[in-house]
Amino acid sequence: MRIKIFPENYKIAIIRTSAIIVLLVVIRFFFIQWFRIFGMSMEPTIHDGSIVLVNKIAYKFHNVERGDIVVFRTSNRPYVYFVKRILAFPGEKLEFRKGRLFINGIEMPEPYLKECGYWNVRPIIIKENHYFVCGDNRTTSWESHFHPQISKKNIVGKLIGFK
Amino acid sequence: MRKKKTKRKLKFLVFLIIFCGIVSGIKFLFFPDENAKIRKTISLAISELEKKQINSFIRHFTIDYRDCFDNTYGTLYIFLRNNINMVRTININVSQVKIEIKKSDAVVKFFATAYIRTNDNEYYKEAGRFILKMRKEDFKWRIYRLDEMEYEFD
Repeated sequence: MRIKIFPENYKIAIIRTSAIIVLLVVIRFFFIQWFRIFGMSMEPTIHDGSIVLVNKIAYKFHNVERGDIVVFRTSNRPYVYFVKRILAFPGEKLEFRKGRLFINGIEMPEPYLKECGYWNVRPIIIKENHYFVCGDNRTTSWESHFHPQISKKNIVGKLIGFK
Repeated sequence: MRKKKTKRKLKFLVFLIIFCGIVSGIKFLFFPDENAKIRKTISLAISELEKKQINSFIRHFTIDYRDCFDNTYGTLYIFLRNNINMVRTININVSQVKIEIKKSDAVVKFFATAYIRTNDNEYYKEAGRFILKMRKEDFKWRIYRLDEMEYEFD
């Protein structure tokens, strides 16, 4: 059977096009959003200029997991979106010793890193209802990175793919 | 008869759309509101910086200008004049512009990204949120303060 893209009946064509547009808008606003990456904080996992797809309903049904890459935004306008990896949960004690991550004194494996760097960071206690996020690019100094503690409401979604 | 009526209705609709377009065009061109004037000033300043027209660009600043990078009107002008020739291309994108006007003062919040290519073919890019404070002087909006906004995640 052949499906005509432009059927002779223009009313059907208009309805079909409108339905597709509405569907795309609904997907964009409620389910999947895409962003273009600006910066190199997630190298070598995500490169500068890549396009990432974010599942906006991922954390409506599941809890945040350690190692998830999330997109989150600032609380006040103009909104800025960041992409980072979740490293620590509320109330946990996080520290870096010679680039290795320790949570509550236990070393955590980080298989996603190519180079773990040389960070030495004193223990940080994560605030209630906040998550500690960090980029994968650990080759630069701790000070040159941005390490916010983000609340769950600021998380836009979980990264599901990038190119 | 019915066909004629529909045709007349369509004609009226087209006329109404054209009329509204012309009226809003005239209003935008000849009687812009303060919000539109501020947007125009910002876009003009950006395009002048991109074209490396420093003398025109600096006219958008007041003489008592200060910013979060410890610049004054004079240091900003000297900095730009001394360094602009090291740059081959500048591209600045401004988005999420929010303007609050109080009498002759305005606060503009926006997100900006800058892409710079130097003469040595090095490529830099930077992004940030800024607060621009503007004041009306001689019927023109001029910038008197520029600050970077802190990021908040609570």
